[in-house]
Amino acid sequence: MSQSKPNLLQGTLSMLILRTLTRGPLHGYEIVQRIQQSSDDILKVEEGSLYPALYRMEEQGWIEAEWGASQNNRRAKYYKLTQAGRQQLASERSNWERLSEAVRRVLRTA
Amino acid sequence: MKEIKTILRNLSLFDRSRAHEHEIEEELRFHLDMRAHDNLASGMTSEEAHADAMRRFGNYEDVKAECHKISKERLEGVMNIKAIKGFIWLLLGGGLAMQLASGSEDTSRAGLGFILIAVVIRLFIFLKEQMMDSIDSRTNKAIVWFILGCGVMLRLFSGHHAVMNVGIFLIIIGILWRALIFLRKMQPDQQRIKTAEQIMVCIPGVDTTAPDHYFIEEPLSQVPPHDQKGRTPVERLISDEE
Repeated sequence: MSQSKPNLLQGTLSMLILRTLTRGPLHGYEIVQRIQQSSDDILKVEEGSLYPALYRMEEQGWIEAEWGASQNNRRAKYYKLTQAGRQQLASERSNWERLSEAVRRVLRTA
Repeated sequence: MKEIKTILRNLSLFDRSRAHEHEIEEELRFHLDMRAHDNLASGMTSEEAHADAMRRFGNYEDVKAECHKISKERLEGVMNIKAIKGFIWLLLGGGLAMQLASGSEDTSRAGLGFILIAVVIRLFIFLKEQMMDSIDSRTNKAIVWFILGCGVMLRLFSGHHAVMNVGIFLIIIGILWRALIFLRKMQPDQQRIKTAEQIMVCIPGVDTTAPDHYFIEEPLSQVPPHDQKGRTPVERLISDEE
């Protein structure tokens, strides 16, 4: 496994999770599914690494967790966006758009 | 008796930590089961379905340990704050009782001291919870110097006893604030989600069974494919268009 990961991706997963949760409370497996489906299976989150991310985000107060019943009637932990999470998403999204626009400009001109 | 024991056990940090550990296991197990279930539905054998679920998940034990660590840190933080808040009420109650019920001037003064300490600690928690994290480091340091400066000025140049005490109070606040800045620097960067950065991209023509090939080694803008509007997959996902 590669040790160095590009800085460009720092925080990207949290932004994608926050964006996915704007559609309503979801459990971890559904979050992974939604990210994959929304990106036409191009983006794949390493499924295990999603959970530490969710726990950190909960610690930051961006999301809240609550146990509920899943579609197959099993106990599942559902995550939902908080107000702080919405603000964080807006901030991360704005940063991402600025960054990608900057990279695009360099690629066009350099 | 048994119920009292259960309540006491549930109140302990150890047991809460154990309960959190069970919840983490339940959550991760649910994920693996869901993946295996979907794999079975797509035609895999039971063995293949479970093996694929584990492969996609990554190192189960590492993930569980990481989640447990985060959960424990959070729990300890909550418990510490709760304990300190309880201590504040104790100090306030004791201080007030000594102030009101005691006839002696010394005891009354000690009571005032207790109340003052309680107020300082409460202010300390308030600063930590409400202000510290929302102000940048440079502004925080400027505030510290301003408070310390005011405190020293009042302490040195005021002739009035009460104003001098306010000066000492401000100096204590300034030192506490500076200590908080220092402690925050010593903590690992919570904002960085270390294990969460492993966004994998399926690149057509690349053997996706080799884990190294999943990781993006170049800027996202160079990773194919962009859609017709020239957007990367991430841009497409965060776009407002449903």
